Amino acid sequence: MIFNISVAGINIGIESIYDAVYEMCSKYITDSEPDFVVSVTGSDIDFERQKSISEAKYEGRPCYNYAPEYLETLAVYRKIATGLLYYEAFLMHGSAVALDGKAYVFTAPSGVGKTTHTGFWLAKYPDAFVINGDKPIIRFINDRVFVCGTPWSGKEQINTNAILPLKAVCVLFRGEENLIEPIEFKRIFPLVLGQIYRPSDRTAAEKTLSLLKKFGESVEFYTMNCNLDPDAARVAKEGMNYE
Amino acid sequence: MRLRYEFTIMDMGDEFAAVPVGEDASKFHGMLKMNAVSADILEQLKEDTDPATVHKYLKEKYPDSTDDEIGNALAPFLNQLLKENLLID
Amino acid sequence: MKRLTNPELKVIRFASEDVIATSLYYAPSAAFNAINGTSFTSDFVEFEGSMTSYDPAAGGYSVSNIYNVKAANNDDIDGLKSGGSWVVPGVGITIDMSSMAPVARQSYNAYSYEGGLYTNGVTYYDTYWQ
Repeated sequence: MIFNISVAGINIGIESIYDAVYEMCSKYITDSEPDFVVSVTGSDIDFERQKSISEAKYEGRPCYNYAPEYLETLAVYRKIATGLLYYEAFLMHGSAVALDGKAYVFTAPSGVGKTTHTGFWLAKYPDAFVINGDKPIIRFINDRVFVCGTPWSGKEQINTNAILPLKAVCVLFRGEENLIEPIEFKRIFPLVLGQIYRPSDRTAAEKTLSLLKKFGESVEFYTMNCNLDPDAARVAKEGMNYE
Repeated sequence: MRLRYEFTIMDMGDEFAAVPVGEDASKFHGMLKMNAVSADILEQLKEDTDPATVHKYLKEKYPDSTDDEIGNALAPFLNQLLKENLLID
Repeated sequence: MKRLTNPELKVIRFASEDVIATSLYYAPSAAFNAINGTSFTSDFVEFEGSMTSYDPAAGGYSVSNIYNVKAANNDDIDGLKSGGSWVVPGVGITIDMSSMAPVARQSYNAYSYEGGLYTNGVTYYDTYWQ
């Protein structure tokens, strides 16, 4: 299939083998001419299969036999994430929630509880919504940092086609009590680096690091220990807006 | 002797970070945090060299340190890199 | 005075190799490969059981006589509680858990600020049900 989407304010052409990625992108389809085009081949899908096996082994969890249609969606996003670097944007693994016109990104390794914490926000704040529950795009526009919804939003497939200014990034840990604290970027840098897309191409990798350093200088960072008490949402929101 | 992976070294203010780039990023899934001296030594190890050459470089840069002091600092550092599989001997 | 200070270095290993491959993902069109009496595998939960045909009133399929359930992480486990039911997203399968109980727990450690794996004294569990 050949179609165009608009993500993070950039128009992207997609040439895919299967229809699944088109269905997934339905909220982002555009008629506008693309700024760049990504196309997928069978070897890209094979690459994603190998990556999923390798990743599962690295994380010590079972690996499932993913369908090629699903793997193609990952191949497309990988190419998009690389292309967006040249538009001052990068992909982050985290859950992005919006409230009162501001976005908050919660990041942590898989399984720590980003989805659960996001659910607490939605329950506590009726006006909150999820920009992207798994892999939002972070983009610099005129030196301001924005969080962008994309179709690639994890197993719950919760995302909004929205671009909002980023208020803060919060790194989540499991803990006995809900407790949030600001942290200097340089202390949390390794963990944040571990949660962004790191391309293997040298130029793209150096561009990523350059954006990440700018990110660290532009955004507030927090760490939060959180438990399964829904009050975690209030603690997080108040902590990131403490004047 | 040289670094096994290609790193970009970033100045984070009061410390440095070395992040693998290029194809090596798919082999080493991590990064190094270090002080300025380590970053400097790592720069020397990007090209093929040997402990004596690095020792000489440090002696010229830190003339008030004795050979023993430099040796006692450099040897464990190189051993740490070897142990972490970051150095090709 | 130009004296050498001790070189300090810490190696930090990331929690994942690749963030595009890291999240478990449920692809409904691919995952639903069960027929009655055989095993069913989604991308994050695995079990064996019997499945009815699609029931619009129930909002999907129902699966019963479930056994050998495994889920890969706690977020997925949240829905698997004894005595309740869990709807598999995307294809609307309802899993009846009323006859099941937890049989095994596997611990894993939390992650430090540094991004690497370490034990902070608190242990979390993946729960396996049967």
